Amino acid sequence: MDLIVAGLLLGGLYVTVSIGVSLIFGVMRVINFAHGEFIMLAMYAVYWAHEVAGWDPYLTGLAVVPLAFVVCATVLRPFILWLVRSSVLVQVFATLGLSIALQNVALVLWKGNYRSIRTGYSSTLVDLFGVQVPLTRLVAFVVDTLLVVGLHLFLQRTLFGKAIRATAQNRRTARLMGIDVDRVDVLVFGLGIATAALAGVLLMPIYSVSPGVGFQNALIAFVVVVLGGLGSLPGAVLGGLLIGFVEVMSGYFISPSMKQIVYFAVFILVLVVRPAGLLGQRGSEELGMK
Amino acid sequence: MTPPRAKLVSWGLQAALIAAPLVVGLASNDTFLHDSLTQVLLFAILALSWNILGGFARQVSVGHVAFFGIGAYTSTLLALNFGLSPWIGMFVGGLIAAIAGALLGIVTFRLRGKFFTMATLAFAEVMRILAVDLRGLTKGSEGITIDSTPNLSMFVLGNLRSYVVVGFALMLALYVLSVLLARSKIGLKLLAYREEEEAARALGVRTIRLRLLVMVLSAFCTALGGTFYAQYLLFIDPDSVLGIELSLQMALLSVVGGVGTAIGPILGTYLVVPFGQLLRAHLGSELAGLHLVIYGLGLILVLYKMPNGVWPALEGFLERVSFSGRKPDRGHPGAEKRA
Repeated sequence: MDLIVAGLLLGGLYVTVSIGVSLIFGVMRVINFAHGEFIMLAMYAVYWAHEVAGWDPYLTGLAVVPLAFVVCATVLRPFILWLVRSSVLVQVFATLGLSIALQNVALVLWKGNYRSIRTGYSSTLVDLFGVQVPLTRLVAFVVDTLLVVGLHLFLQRTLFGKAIRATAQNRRTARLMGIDVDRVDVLVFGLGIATAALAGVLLMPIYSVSPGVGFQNALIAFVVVVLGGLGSLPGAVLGGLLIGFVEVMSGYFISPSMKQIVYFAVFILVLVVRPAGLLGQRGSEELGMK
Repeated sequence: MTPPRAKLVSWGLQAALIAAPLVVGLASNDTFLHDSLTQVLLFAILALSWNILGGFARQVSVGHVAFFGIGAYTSTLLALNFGLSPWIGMFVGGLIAAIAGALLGIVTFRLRGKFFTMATLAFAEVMRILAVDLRGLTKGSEGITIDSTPNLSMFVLGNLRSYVVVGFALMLALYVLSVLLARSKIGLKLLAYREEEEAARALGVRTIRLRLLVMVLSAFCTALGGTFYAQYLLFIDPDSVLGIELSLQMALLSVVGGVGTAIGPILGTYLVVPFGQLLRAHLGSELAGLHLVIYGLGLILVLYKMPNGVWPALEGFLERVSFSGRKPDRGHPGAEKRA
């Protein structure tokens, strides 16, 4: 029972870390290598707001997440539009360039040491089905769930969500139907980055932050989304939970140092057996999703 | 058709570019210069190796560091445990990397485009984690130090100038290989494959086998670079020879220089690596990381201005220069009509 709860909580975190990658890929067909860096920046924002002004991490989150969205939709707009129109190579290396630059901006400004915050409730435990669970992880899980449900409703029930799905299906046809595809791209990218910021806010009370933390998270996110099926939101949820479970289980039953090996092994296995990912669109990997 | 004059200038430029590090290296006595030249040559070797798969077949791998690490570890461990000379170990490492490349190729044969890219990323991470965890074999993150007594038969050369020569020889060999590959029948098949896979298949090109072949070749060459690195620095650990950053660097150099050309990776290396070294030398001490900020932003700028890389842009420029001032070619259909 302990293991199931732990796996679920960790999996929930991974879902939030990954869902933005999946969303951006699904619509724009861009793998954003800089995704982790946005998580890292949000973590620093929360850290400094707490250290300097004494703000509560979650309250800061209310400001950081919309801010991330606005910054993307305004400052990064030309970058995003250029990215969508570029070749695969350029997309990979431009987002990598962004990743390197952001990572080192953090290094220049805040040095390489690990920083963490302590709040009044850092070590508070909550009883959940007879299992003691840290409050911060529980909060993260609840927010993760809300995020997934919210995104799902947004995509399925609103007109704009419909426009996003249409663009994901076929850009040209979507444009012919009168959808402003550029706007969809910018907003989707902004949304994706906002989920990254949210992940950062949720991670900060639990883990410590350093400039390199973004890339570690990005690696996990890539595994999760490929596992679940690139571009598929339910896939990202399933993949995240699965990786969370696999990590907890192998850490417990085999050895903590082997847990990464195990989930990469699962990852490669899935690629061999079902390259489109568990819930991915079948055959999409063979077309390269042009 | 490229006009002959432009072609001549282009070949001359390529020859000059290739010979430059050797000439500079032999003419100078500066150890700092030799050190940075060796690094440049090493990266040129890696970029050329990556380009065989990433450029000619347009299969973007971000996991090539796995082959590099296999090369470095194989020759080092063989020398350490069995006293086998790294000159031979180099090729054993190449073979093992080639086998690993073949396995990866077989496993991922259904994956295209970005899916393939992601799979290579995971492959490299698995190799790194294995190197960290298999302490009995690799000494884990502690790393392995190679005996630094100069010994030619054990590929410990002692003076830096010799490393420049060896690095140059490897780079030249890979360049020649790339040119030959591009001009061979396989090169034509690769061209067809990267432009339109379906069409290539329809014309009878066995694309899966073709990709496997290039992957094996590319892995083999990358592993040679791994041994060269290990014998140059005389120390290897999982983070330095299997870190994902190195994978990205190899690919990046080709992308900047021009993927799918033989000289592009070399040019890209000459532009990017010394630039990084200079930035680090001037900014590294004051603000750690600032040089990488500039580096990252510079990369985006180059890609924005020249999405095909610097070399194709340069060649296009040469062509335009040699056309201007001359009458349009007679054989050029429509040339007169337009004029």
